[in-house]
Amino acid sequence: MAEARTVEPSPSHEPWRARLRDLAVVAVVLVLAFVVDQTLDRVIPDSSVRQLLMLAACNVLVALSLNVINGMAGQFSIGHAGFVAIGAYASAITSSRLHERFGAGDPTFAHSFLVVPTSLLVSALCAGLAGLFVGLPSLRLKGDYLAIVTLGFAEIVRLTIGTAQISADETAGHAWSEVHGLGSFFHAISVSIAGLGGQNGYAGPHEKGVPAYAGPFWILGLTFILGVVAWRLKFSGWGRALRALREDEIAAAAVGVDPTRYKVTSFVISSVGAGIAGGLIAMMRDGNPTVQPESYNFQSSFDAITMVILGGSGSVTGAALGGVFVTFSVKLIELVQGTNAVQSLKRSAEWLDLNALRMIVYAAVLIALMVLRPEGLLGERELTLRTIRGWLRARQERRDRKAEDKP
Amino acid sequence: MRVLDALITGLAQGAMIALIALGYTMVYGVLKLINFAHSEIFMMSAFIGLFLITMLGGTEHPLLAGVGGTLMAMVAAALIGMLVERIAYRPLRNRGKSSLVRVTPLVTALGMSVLLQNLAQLMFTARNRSYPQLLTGSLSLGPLSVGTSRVVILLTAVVVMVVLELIVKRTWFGKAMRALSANEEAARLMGINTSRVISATFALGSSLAALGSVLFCLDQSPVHPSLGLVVGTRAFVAAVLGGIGSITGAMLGGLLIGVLGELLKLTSFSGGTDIPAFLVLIVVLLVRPAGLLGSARAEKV
Repeated sequence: MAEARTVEPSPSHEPWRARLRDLAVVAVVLVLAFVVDQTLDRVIPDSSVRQLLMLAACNVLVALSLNVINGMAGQFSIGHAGFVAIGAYASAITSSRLHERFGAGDPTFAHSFLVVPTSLLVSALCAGLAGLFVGLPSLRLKGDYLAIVTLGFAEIVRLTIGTAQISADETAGHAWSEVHGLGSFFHAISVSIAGLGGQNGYAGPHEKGVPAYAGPFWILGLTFILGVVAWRLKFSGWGRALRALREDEIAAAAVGVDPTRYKVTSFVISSVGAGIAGGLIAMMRDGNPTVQPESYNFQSSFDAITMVILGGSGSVTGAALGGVFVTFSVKLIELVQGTNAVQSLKRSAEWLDLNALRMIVYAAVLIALMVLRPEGLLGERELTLRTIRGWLRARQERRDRKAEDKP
Repeated sequence: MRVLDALITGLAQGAMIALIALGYTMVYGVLKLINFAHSEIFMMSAFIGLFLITMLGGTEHPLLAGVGGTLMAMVAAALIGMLVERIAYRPLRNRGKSSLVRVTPLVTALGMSVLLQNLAQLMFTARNRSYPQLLTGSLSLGPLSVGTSRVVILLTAVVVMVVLELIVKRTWFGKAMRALSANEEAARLMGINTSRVISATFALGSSLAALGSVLFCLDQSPVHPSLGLVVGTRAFVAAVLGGIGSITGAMLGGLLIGVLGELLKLTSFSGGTDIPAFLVLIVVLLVRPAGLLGSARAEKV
């Protein structure tokens, strides 16, 4: 439990000093994020690289949130993309409506202080409610119902949004004003869902694109803050209770940890995190101006699982590492797909699908990892300066011992 | 009349779903594991069935191609199922008690599913392929005419389910399977080779999925690599609805889901079968988590 000790608040005789230090850290992070926000365009002129950086941060959030339920609670959710999608759509709608209120000019940094928190709040709320709806029936029970329910849920979110279609003259407002009874109620719902743009994606109420309010300040800043939150959550009393529950449900219940309550709470927290990540992705500067249902397919849920498991289930830093790694490898595949050599190879061999190949490799790695090293890269350990120093010291000692043995 | 027609179509649909749900439920019975790869085995065997049927002559020799292709696809699926079990599940067994024991098989199951799906995408590409029309024409049963394919499907499914019931209830293997499902440790102490029984269960479940997939595709659907995800979810809902682990329950659940889907098509509801199936799943989990025919067992400390 060496890592647990590192985050216990130090028994300071002057608590205000510790508080002051925390405030200073927050202030420094905010200033740093602001500086990065203002200078990133000049430091990294290539917008695709900037996009990659911010996407990696968002994916770290996705991994951190999935880690709460898959790593810490020891349940298995495989429809994380569904919650990310809900967050993305909620934020896209809220931010573009607010953007219209502001006269629909260029998104300004000052306005973003109103738009981003509001949109993210809506995202978090919607995703959290969805999490409650999915989690409550399936986590009440023993067994792995959560897995299949989340899988079905994510598919349904994607298919419902992707396949909803209406005739051109119908509007949601009109349909809602004509609701008498159940049939027209469902009709109004389906008209509203069709307003999300179906397969083409949602691009604001007038198809002008979702305004890109979330710059590096918001994305990097929030990733840092939520990362700290995830860290504190893991080592809090609540996190320890959750891990106790994972190790032995009956024993944990016997000492007063209510299994259902803890599991459902952790699932809701996990979906709220996913919703925030989705909201940030939707409003990301340099990102995609539309929110498309196909970006939240089963494959992206599987990517999220890969992030958590590769890094080590239950490890906050591991999940962050996994998020960065998967984002970069996906980007790498995209780049390789675009090169001339691969393009010409594809012309001769039509079947060559690098993305399918990537998924096969990922899946094979996951299976091999489960067979050979089920705890993942880091296990439940955390990557901190102290643990790295510990490893280096141990290595040095081993080397010294070897040197002593030799002569 | 439309209702009656929908009922028959729904029963045929449901019979196929039931065939797949059986695989889920049998594996869950012996291993207490959701075999995510089952739906991909279904999809793979649909491809294999398609190639075999075309190879055996397709529409020129419908009987030979249909029966021969289906049987060979079943054998192939059984081999794939045993292979999956061998690679992804067997190494994880008897790992001792730790928090990872519960999640690791789920990860490998999911990994296997993704692996098979993308393998199919690489080998067969993502485009739709349609089956040859082997079962055309229709029979008239009194006032209504039913497509031959529906009748064949329904009859086959009923025969298979009766045979399965006999296997489970009357043979040594069935007895061993039920023993394993009740208590693995005790079954091993009684001299049952658990590994072999588990392997055979996978083979049996997979071959049933293959039968279901060939019938499914002959009736209506083109084959594509993501077929498994669509049908697999439906089949799993059927298994849970009937009571996971219960073989009769899976049959009942499948039929119910099939009929429900077809009856919904008569109404103005346009959300497809998956949303209602999902809602059914939620309601079942809330109201009667053991399913219609399952029995709830309290866990002893």
